[in-house]
Amino acid sequence: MIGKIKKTAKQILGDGTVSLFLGYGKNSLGDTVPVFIKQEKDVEKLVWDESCYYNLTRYFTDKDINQFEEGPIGVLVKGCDQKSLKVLLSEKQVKRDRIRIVGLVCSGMKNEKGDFFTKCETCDSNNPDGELCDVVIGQKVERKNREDDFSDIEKIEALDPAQRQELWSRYFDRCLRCYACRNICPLCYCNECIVEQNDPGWVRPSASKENNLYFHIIRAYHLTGRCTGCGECERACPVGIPLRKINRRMIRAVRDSFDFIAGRDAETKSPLACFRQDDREDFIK
Amino acid sequence: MEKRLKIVGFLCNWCSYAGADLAGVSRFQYPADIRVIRVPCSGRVNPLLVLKCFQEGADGVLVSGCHPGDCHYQEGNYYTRRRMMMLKNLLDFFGIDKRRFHISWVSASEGKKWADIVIKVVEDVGAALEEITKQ
Amino acid sequence: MSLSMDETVFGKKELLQILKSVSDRCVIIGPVMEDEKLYFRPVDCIDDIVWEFDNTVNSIKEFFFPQRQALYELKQDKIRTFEPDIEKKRILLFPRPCDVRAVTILDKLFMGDYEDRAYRTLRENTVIMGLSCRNPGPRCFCLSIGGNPFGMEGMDVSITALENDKYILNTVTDRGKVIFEGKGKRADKEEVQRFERLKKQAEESIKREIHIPKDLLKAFESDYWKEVSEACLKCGVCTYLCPTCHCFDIVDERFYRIRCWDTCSSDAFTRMASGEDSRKNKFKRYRQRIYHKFSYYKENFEEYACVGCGRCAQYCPVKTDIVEIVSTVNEKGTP
Repeated sequence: MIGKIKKTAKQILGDGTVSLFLGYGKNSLGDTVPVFIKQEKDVEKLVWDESCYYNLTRYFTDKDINQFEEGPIGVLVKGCDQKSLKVLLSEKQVKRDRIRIVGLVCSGMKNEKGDFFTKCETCDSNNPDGELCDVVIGQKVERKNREDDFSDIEKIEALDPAQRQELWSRYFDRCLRCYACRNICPLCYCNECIVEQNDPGWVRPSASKENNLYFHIIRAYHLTGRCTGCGECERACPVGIPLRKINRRMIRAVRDSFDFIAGRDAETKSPLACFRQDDREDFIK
Repeated sequence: MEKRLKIVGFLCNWCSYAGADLAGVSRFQYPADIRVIRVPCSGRVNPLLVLKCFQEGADGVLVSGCHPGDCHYQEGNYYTRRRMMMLKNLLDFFGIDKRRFHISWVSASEGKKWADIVIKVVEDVGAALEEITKQ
Repeated sequence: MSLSMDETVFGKKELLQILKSVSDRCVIIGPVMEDEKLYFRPVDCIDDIVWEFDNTVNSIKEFFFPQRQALYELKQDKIRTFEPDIEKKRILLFPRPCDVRAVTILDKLFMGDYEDRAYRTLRENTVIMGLSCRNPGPRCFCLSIGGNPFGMEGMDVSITALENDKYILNTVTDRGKVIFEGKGKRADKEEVQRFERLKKQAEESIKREIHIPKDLLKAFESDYWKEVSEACLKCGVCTYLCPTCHCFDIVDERFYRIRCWDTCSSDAFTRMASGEDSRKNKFKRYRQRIYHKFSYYKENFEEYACVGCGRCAQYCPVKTDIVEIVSTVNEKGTP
């Protein structure tokens, strides 16, 4: 597969179709890192293995990257990354004719310990969408993974409110407010995040477990109906907070209440941006 | 004097606020634990406002608007419905008791309903807080 | 540094006993496991402390330069300041030589021309019992930046694990001597030799080296910084986990004025109230980080603001590697 990837990259860089190609490479320690290829000769840096876990679509909303680019940007996407891309397209943050999408068939990615990520165990998109991508590389694979049954979330839901508060307090006590979760998320692209607004001060900036809880509630709320569960936030967190669980709770809520799953297509509006006359109101007095 | 709870109420100007006004004029009794903020429409209530109330120490929050179909601005309350549904779901996940956040539809003519709702909300918030202090 | 024959050897049980006996008089902060990762935390139960480990996620700077510190309270026009608690004594157990050396580097700032009283109180009330690093990690590079895996700089006591639950202690300061006075047995020749061999082994196992150019300023205008910072997310992981990073913000929350950690990578760091921002682009902020650590701090305080712990490279969500970036400046960055 790496041969085809390099060939494709070389081609579209060489003939000027793209002026920048986002892919995976290695640093001097042997870690996989995102690479930004602008010249054909650098295409040799590209790699493809089970540690290519980055969601590169995050860089489409990085103004330091795209403001320097005159031409379109090429990108390698796995099935999970492509879902975030669809949301970005539906929110008009990326123009379809300004990107070239190279889809990659993926059988799962491994973390530093060598275990598959939990998200890969329940993956339903090993094969990227051929209709969205300009080209798909890799032999189609049959899905062998289990469905996400949200059982870990149900375990938390089985606790009473006080126990839940205690559980999350323990996690948020560790939160450093580094914002790695927010900054690595492809869908957190606000020019001014609410945490940077100090008038009104929606959430207090210092890192205490009380303050941190509200930052995470707000982030989860702003991602409701948009998050595709790529899990980069959880991977980026240096102190191991199970952020993907929070987002999955809302993914399930949106699925159950609005029959909507983010990242399925690149057109449908997020459920919180529209309504139906017959939405449920059993929770309203 | 009995300790009052701090419950913030966001009332839409055209329906709920008028309904609450009617409750007052009609002398329907309800607890004074609720502090009312008038907004043009329940759809104006940014979920961040609800969260800010909790951060600043509110015991409970109530968002009240027009009945679906009757919104003064046609559609505002449809958005309210979806937003508050998701917010309530999210708060519950973190252990912020469901009984501390309520949403209601109160029209301008439903003075009695308003009073009843406030009584119920104060009861629920009180019960939720009692459980927390017991811990 | 070789040990004099005054050094003492303890069994693990004896050490635990001594720690337990002082734990009623002072808070013990040590490495504990939390959700499969290691952190330095104040411990309630000494048995929770982990004795054998690579480095922790957090460094020990937060115990002298707290992540969140209330400066004063302003309520109804009455100001109440917070004085440091001079009675509270602490023992910091098992920080690595790199983390301890980082504190001595921070001392130059916080107890320099302008002294932070709270910082000084915390420093004076804390006994540091460092643990020598027998197995430096693949990202460690302390040797090439003035440190040593068996270093004792800044410690009151240096502890090194020998085999069979035996530990050799070197009391560096009087404070350290007082706690272990009259206890343990003197190290014999074999034990001292073992110590020397372990030290050499540890030093030889550090393969990673940083090469800091002496004339870093020459590369300031280079496009090199644009290249190396492309993947950077502008988060605060490297800053907050770094044992020497010390920038802070002052915020008002309700009635309190609070000093809290800040990161130069964030968008708002340099931005002023007018909107003016001399570091609008990400690469300028990344460049600032490198220059602060390897140029400006060195100029002002005669120390690099880096101890080679490797946490920034390990925990960076996009694996930006500071060693590679600084070491290749001359190769790629100078015009």
